[in-house]
Amino acid sequence: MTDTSTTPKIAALSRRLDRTDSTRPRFLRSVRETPVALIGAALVGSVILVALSAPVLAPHDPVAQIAQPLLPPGSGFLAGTDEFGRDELSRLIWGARVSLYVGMLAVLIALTLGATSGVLAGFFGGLVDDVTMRVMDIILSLPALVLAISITAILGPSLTNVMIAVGLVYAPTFARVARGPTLAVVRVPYIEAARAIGASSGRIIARHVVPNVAAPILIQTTVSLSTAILTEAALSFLGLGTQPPTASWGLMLSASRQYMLIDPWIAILPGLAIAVTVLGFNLLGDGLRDVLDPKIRPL
Amino acid sequence: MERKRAESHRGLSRRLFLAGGVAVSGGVAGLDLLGPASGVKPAWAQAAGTPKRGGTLVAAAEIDPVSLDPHTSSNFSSVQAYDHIYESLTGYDEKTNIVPALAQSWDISNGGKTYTFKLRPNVKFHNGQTMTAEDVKYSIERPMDPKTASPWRSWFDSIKEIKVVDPLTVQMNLDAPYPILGSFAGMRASGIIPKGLAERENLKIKGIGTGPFKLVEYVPQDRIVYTRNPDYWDSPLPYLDGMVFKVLTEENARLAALRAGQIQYALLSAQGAVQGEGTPGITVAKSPSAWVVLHYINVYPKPMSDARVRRALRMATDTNEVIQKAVFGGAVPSGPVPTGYGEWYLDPQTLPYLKADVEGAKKLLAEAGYANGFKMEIKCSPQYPEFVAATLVMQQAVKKIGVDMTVTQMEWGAFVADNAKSNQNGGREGADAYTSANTFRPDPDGYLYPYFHSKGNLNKGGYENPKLDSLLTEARSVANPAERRLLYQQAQRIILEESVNWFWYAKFNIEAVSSKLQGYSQSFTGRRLFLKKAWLA
Amino acid sequence: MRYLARRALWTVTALLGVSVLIFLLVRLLPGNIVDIIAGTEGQLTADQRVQVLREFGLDKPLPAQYFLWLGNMFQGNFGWSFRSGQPVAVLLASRLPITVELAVLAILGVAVLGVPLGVAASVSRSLRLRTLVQIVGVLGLSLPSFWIAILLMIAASYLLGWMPALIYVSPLADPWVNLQQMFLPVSSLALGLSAVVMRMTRSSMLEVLGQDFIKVARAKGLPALAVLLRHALRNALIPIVTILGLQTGFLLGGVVITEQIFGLPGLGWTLLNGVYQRDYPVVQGTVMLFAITFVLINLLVDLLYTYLDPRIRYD
Repeated sequence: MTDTSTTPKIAALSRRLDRTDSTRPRFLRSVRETPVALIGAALVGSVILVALSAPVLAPHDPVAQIAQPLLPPGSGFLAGTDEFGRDELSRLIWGARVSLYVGMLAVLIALTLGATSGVLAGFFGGLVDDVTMRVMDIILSLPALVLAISITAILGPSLTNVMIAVGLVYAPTFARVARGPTLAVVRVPYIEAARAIGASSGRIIARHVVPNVAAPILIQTTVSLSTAILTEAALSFLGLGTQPPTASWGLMLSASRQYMLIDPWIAILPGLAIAVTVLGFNLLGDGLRDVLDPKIRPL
Repeated sequence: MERKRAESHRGLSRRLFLAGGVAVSGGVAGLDLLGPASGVKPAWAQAAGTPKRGGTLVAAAEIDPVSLDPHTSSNFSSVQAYDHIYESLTGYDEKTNIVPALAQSWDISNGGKTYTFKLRPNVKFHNGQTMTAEDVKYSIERPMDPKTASPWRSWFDSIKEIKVVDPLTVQMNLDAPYPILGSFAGMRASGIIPKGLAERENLKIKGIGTGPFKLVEYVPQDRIVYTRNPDYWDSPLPYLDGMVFKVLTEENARLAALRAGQIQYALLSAQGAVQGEGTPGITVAKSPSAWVVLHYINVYPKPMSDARVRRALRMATDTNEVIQKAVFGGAVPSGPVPTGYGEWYLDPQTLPYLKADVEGAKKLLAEAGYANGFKMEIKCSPQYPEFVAATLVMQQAVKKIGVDMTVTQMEWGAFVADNAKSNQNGGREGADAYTSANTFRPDPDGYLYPYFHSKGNLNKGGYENPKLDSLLTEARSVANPAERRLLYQQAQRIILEESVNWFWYAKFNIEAVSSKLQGYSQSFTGRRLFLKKAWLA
Repeated sequence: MRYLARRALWTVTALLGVSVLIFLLVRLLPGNIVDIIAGTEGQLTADQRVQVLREFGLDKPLPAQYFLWLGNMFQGNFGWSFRSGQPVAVLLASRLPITVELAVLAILGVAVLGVPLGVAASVSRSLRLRTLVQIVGVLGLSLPSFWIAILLMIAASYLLGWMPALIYVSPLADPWVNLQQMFLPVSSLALGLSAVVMRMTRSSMLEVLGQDFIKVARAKGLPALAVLLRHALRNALIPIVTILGLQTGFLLGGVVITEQIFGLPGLGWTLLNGVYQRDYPVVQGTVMLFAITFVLINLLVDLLYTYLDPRIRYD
């Protein structure tokens, strides 16, 4: 890291950034310094691309049973066929959609419920803080699995319902992540002054809290996106995640358990897909943390 | 060594598949395991040897038994577990013939309405008590008592009274002839327990019976431990000193344990069988069994109320494809009575709709007025992946005739509740069909009457066919097996023609047995009845 | 002291909240014990159903059921399992040690593996090394734990012909056998978790290392290792400990799959089974146990904070 700071552009940038208020996040550190973020971004980008272009990219209908089951890769099916005779490649491609959907839904719910609660708790403090954090504790004490099963059994087993439950379980984490920086902002003198003279809370939150909270939330988002994908796989293992015949990597992985020694391909490929995607999100998160976190300084 | 094994597995799977492929085009899957249509080949059995006393069998149970109470438990896994502890008045041999057990002999009089059982003398319970007619009376009255809330109570409905004639004679008086009484062993709730035991002990996790093994402990979800019953009436059985069944629901774990020699017995799926076959020291036994996968159709609402619609949907689906994809080829096509059951089943070669006939189905559907197809819903539970798989194959198949089938998967408890509700309200609520399976019934009547007789208590949607009704009622009162057989064959033909339910296959019973375990035979009932005759080499 | 009192009050409130929530949630599940008992092949008549409900106390009005349960719990009576008739407290007591052992060993493994790697990644000067450690670390996080578990099990039995004894043996009875039984399950859990801790350690260390007091310590001439361990790591531990605390909570609730695969009769599997079987007392009892444990761990973590960072005080 040290050698790259000799470029004049970066040095000037560093000087400029050193002068800023510590409550403002720092952007624009050269991404060249963080190859990890690049790799992560590339991986994530590829998955998103595949997911978006699934209808065009996938050679076959992912749920159509069109061929001899358990064919190895080759001869018309690049990734072979699964235990139902469906095209494995098409299922992998469409699976990207499910994984992204799964992640986005869970995170959206966690953000909406959690981050909002955390900001409000940190901002208003006192009773609001206590109650909010206790509710978060209640959610955390309830084993995630129980929540997922219950919601599935009550609302009906659909991936959407399950991810709502999962999102609920992630909410407390987002609440904590949002609460910290909010507390820091609230204590800053001129914020206190602004509130004393009656500046609207909404405006203060929007102009001062949100920018401070944005970076940690963004990082947590990438982490939760990757966790959600793994959680979907675990839930599919228990029969609570994606329901057949939908193609999801988690379900494909779970269903392949019985065939591990019969046809390793259908066991390895979905696992690889999950690993690559989760890796991508995590590396991206790491990289973003290095770039955005105002408190991290290179050696 | 590994490479060869991996290759042979793949090769094996391909070959199995190609065999299935051949079956799709011509022959019928799994038929080579059956003897001539007049009876099933004896279930797989090991070559004879000299029995040896001693040793503890370590085995894997694929599902937790949940409860060991012989009269109130409804799971098949419970039967598997308590089979070693409790016995009934009669039992089964390796050919699924009824043989005497706790009853040495019995005769039927009074036009089939009185059964007199002569009990075996000097049979001891595990607590040293001697079994008498009082215990038998108590044990049979228990499931009949509404306070017990036994799910099998209706099976005893025709018993009016049970009399103790003398300490070794029990008489049962029925209000109408009821053939199943002759095959008490298969009746789910027929285990004989000491009088008053249920009031003293929690029978869900404890048990005192007359069986070859005593229960040492049952730790729910973990293990069942048995020890030899030294006073067992059928001496010198059993040969084993004891058995430990560890609950391992993950098949990969069972396979790993077999490979590592940690267990000498486990039940496997067809996929597991392929993976287990290469293991040194392990034999994988396969024979037909009484596990029939079917769809219970709700015949109340349109369009399922129209037999042509039901037939068309069935016609469009290839039975062999269902067998291949649901159980990896490990089954044989079946009608309402499972293929291989005594002489009651229909020859699978003669079953209708073995091969898909899409054109015929389309025509039939158009005839019924649904040329443009329609929407329908089938419910199943991923608790049994083969149910889901079979339904998915059907979903794909009926697409070709324009039917849009939604497959709704429910968590098991929710599924059971929904199914029960739809039974209770005559099919006014609920899905068009429910995927499930029927396990062994002691009499073909059990597969037919409750579901297809207009007064049957499991008749979903209220199917009513006077001709069928009269056949089923008559078969209940006829004593001559040959006559009964004819009646049941006719009944089954009607059921298949009307496609009242969709029947798919009778699954193979696949058990992996270590070479250390000898003298074991499989049973068509799917129960592990003959571990009492096995020994460790 | 006031802090502890306030904390205790809120804890009790939270626990009561959990009790109400799980009581209601489990009754919202479609179907109940009656349906489970009947199964798909048997049948219960209407009056039989009513009778079964009465037997299990499910015919009483909801508030009555709730307060009865709550009252009993305070006396240490967690009710009786609908399915096995066993006292729930006895059931939980026999299952808890297994899950606790699994969780404790996993956390230990994670701390031993993840923390040093994270420290190394934060101070190394080699970009390549840092990137490598990061990627390898994240890889553990990227594979579903059940997959790792099954792969390990297949590898062990297939390549080595090895599998530990099937019936669980307590570490007090035979530590060697117990360790063998725990080895694969703990490994499959720890691999994923150590990645999280590793990354948290790394970023936390980076944060701390950038602060002024570190520069001052170095300027004073303190040896690098001392600075690293005593000053930097100690301060960095706060978020790490938070994560470990949260993970313990997740572990206790989330080891279900591992328990199921390896056939370990622990709390997670008991809970899942309870839900499937609509065994209300078991589900309620297990969840309350989780909640209490979670709350205790949280408290422990918060008290640990005061040790790690003297600036943190609660009064």
